[in-house]
Amino acid sequence: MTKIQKKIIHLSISILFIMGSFWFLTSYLTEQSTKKYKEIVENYLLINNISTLSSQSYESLSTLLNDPTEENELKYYQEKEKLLNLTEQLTKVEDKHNTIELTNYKNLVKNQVEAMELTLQFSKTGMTSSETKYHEESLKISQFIDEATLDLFKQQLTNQEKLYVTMMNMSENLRRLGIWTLILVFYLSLLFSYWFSKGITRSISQLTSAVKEISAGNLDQSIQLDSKEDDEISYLSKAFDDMRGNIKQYIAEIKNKSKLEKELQENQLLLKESELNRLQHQINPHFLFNTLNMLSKKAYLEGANETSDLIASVSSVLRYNLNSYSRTVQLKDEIALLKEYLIILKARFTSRIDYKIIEEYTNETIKIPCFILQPLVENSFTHGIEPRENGGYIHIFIKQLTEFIEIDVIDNGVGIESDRLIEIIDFKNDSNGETTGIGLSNVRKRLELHYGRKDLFSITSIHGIGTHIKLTIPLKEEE
Amino acid sequence: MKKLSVIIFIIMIIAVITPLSNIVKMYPILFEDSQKASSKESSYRIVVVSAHLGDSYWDEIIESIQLEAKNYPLHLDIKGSFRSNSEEIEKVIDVAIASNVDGILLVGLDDEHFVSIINKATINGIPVITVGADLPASLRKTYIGTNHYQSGVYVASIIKKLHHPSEKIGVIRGDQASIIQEERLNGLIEKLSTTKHQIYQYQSKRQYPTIEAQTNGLLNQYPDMKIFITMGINTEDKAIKAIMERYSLDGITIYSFDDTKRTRNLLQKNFIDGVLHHSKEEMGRLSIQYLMQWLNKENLPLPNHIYTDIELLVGRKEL
Repeated sequence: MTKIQKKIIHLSISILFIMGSFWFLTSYLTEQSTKKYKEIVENYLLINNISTLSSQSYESLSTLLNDPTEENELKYYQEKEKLLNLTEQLTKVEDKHNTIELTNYKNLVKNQVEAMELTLQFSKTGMTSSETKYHEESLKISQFIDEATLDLFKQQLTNQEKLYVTMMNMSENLRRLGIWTLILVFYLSLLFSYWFSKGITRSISQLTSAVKEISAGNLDQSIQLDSKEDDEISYLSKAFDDMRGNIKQYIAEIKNKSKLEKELQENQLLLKESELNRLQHQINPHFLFNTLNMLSKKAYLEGANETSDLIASVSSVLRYNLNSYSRTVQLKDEIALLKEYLIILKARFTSRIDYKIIEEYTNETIKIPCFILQPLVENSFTHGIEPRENGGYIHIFIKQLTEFIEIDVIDNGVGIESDRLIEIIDFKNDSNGETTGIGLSNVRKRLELHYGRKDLFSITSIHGIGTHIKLTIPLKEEE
Repeated sequence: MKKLSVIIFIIMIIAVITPLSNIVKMYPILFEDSQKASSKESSYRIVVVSAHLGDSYWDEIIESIQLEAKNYPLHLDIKGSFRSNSEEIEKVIDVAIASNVDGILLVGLDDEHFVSIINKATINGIPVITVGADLPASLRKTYIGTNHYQSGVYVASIIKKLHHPSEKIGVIRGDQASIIQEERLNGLIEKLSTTKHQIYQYQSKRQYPTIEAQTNGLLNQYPDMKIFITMGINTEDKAIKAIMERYSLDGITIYSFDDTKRTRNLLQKNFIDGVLHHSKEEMGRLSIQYLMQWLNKENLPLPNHIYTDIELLVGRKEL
């Protein structure tokens, strides 16, 4: 998860490490070299000091001999002591090449000091010849020391030439190492930055194009990054992908819901339409209902049985209308209504209408939408039979198939012309003739809404021959 | 692109590793060189002083000294003078004394001037051994080398054997003072005096006439002289040259007291007829051995002299 951070930290640490170890190496080597140089120079200085002191102490001895004051004597003793002290330090200079020469040198100094001391002694005891002899000896030895100093220097230089050359070489190599290390580190940083930023920008641009896709509406393309690393960018892309999935889901749900709501609304609208129509034409139904019942009884009591039956049919139709306005009723109820309606029709138009109902079904409790059958027949009558001078017949077939109930309403009326057919199907009926207010289009629409299919209603008509309306009602309800 | 960057990377790695490896290699040279202890801590410091540096005769002795010294804990310092400069030599010995060396070997010093300085060294406790040439008047511990007087006697005895007393013998010496040559002459003359052989030297006003002068003088004086004895540095060459100006070397017999590469070369080429071989290798060897004996304080005192062998090497030309 913190891959990016880790990478950067690793890079910084490795650069730090490289430069740090180089710096450390350089300072260490430089320090060692400096120490070595210091050592070498100190050795030279020591030898030089001894040489100088050798001459100086001889001079102060000579001065003392000429002018034996306490001051001079003190000076001589100081220099002599210092000379001896420095000589003791010569062991520092010793190495495997110059032991012999240094031993000789040390002995020279000691002998000079001895000669000088003897000179002083002999001078103090007044033995001038011996004094002179040792005085000359001191001088001679101090000159030997001068020459030996030069030889020592030459020897040291020669022995250490190799050392010097190696030191020069080393500092040269160190310099080259520094330059190349710098270049290498620079190059590595460059490479790393390039590779790293390339990785990130590529991931980001992939992400961007994926997001563009989404904003263009294409929610199906899943967001996949090329890199298989588990870093922040991939986390981001995963989050985006989840978001895309969620959005897709929500949109689908919303679409579904709105579709359902729309259907519901339409259904409700249609029903409302029917109800409105119905309401317009209604007067207090109970008054009518009760009156009709009373009339039916009265007719029966007065011996007019047919009249009584007729009035009873009207009453049933009215009751049907009053009661169920739920969306689904049982098949048998619809058929019952149809039969009552037809009885009324027959009574009104006697010879002008003939009807037959052929029922071939087993299951009469199937739920179908209400007011399906009666409007069909009404339509057949109003547009087919009634305009015909001689009247006609309506045949109604109700057949139960394996998966459907087939209802055919066939009449031999005047037929409907095709443009009128379309009008009828698509719009409300005009007020040419009596209607119960529910038109074919209403039936068709409600069937569509109820079963979710458009192929349940068909109407064919040939002008002058007749009209055939066919309904196929699925046995399984689709909601 | 990727391949190129890999190549560049490899180049840079090599460029970085190279100086680094150099540094690693160089480091021990620089910083481990502070070994203070020397292996020959307890070695004796010996000074070898030669009066004739560069002279192959004496150099051979010095070489054998050096060779023998390798077997002992000795450190040798070879000093001296190229032209028998006695001041230089004295100074060298003086420095050696002032440096408290453990021993001095004098090779080929036969100048009386050095007696006092040898004594000074002895007084200061430094053993002095003379090699090849002696100064018996000094306090040197011992002399190792040819008995020059005896060598003269020896050469004389050989000449006695090889030559008829009627043949004149000429002696050509070196052009510098030399005790050795004096002793040789003494030996020669003494031996030959017992017979009737005549030995002649060129006399001149100068104490040390040149070799050419000697040769020419002798030939002028004794034109029938056929036998010559030479001694001294490069005497043979100069003598031969002088002789050959007059006549060829065919009838001339030359014996040399000095055994050098040059004289042996001349012997081989038949320019000269005899070379006295000195046991230089033995001299060198014995000098170190006896010095060590003194330093280790074994079998003291050392004998006064140890004479080494001599042998006359004769050429192919038979007389």
